Amino acid sequence: MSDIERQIADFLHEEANRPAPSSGMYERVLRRAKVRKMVTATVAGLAVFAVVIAGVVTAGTLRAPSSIKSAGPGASPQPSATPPETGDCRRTIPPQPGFVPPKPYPPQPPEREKAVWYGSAALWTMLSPEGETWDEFPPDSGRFTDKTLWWSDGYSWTEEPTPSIRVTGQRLDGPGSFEAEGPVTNGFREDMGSFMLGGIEIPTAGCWKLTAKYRDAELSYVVLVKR
Amino acid sequence: MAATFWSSRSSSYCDVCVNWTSPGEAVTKRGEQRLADLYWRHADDAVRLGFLLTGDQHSAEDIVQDAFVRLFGRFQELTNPDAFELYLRRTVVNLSRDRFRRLRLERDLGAREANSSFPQAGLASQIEDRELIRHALRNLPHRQRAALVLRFYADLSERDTAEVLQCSVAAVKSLVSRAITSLRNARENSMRGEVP
Repeated sequence: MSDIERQIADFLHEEANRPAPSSGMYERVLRRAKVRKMVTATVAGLAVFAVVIAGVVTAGTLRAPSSIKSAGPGASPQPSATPPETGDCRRTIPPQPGFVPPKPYPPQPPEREKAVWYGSAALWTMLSPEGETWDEFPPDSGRFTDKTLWWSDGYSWTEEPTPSIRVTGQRLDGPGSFEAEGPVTNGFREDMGSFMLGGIEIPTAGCWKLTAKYRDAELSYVVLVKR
Repeated sequence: MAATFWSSRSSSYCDVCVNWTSPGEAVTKRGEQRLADLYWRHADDAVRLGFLLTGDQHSAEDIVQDAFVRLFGRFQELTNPDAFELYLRRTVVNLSRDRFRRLRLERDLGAREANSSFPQAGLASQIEDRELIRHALRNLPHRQRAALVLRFYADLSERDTAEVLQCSVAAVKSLVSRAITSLRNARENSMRGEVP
């Protein structure tokens, strides 16, 4: 290192010897990060909404109006558009606006969930407007475990603490299937009402169709499971 | 039947999931925890880097805030956690470029005052020498200044500096060489009593 380089290095180190960032900076970062995330999610949601609307309009112009049927109670809404980043996995994109459950359930899931209701009064769940991609799993376990939530009009968490709901999975992009083991539990939140909560363990990553059966109702959706 | 618990964290009743957190909440909390870890590990150094690049503490803090906010959404994509430091440095350098230009414009407007306070010949004390370097550094083009800061403050190799600046190693050598020549000329001019 030459003299002038050493001189520059000394100068820079002395200059940098300053007080730490002002207090409250982290809170500002966190607040702004949350706002940015919310804006991004909103923009993405609007984009998906626009794609769905464009798809509906296109389908409407190509098909006779009588070919569009509404899903009745117990029916399984079909997967729709496929976002490009998910490859061949046609994740279920819930219709927008989402299903509105009967009272006393809230017309939409709590905002923090960033999801919409999907299904029918007989059986419904909540899905991300962009489709479900699960890539956050308990660290070090090497297992694809997650909780699934289900609602049904008339289900009461106090009267049926271990609801007789059956959750199964069928892999769509390869061989594989599973059936959830263990009892499904009850749950309740002020802003969600009574719900059924079932833990599932998916054998492998991939494109999975999950199906729940409760009483006479059945509901399916497709989720992309990633490492 | 299992006992029913009240979970204050999730504000829910749940038989077997005392600490149950909904998937949406869990992802948010993990993201925030990661942000907190990275912030406390890197923010201090990043502000120092920002200060050396802009010469202004408030600007440096603003830049680092912007950098963390920008990178927050990309934490999930980072397969190598060590890469965060590189991305953060790169973002701070890029964000400081715009700020640097604006500050430099303001300094140009006040050039008369700056010139009058420039160290004169014959005052070879350490303080004047520091002022000389500070003044000369401020007048370097942003990339030259960034190259000097990354090489001689952050102690990065030429290759790592090139990664941050997104240029070749040869370009880094050139930037550093030109910057040092400028500083050397500024010092010689000062010795001769010429105001740059």
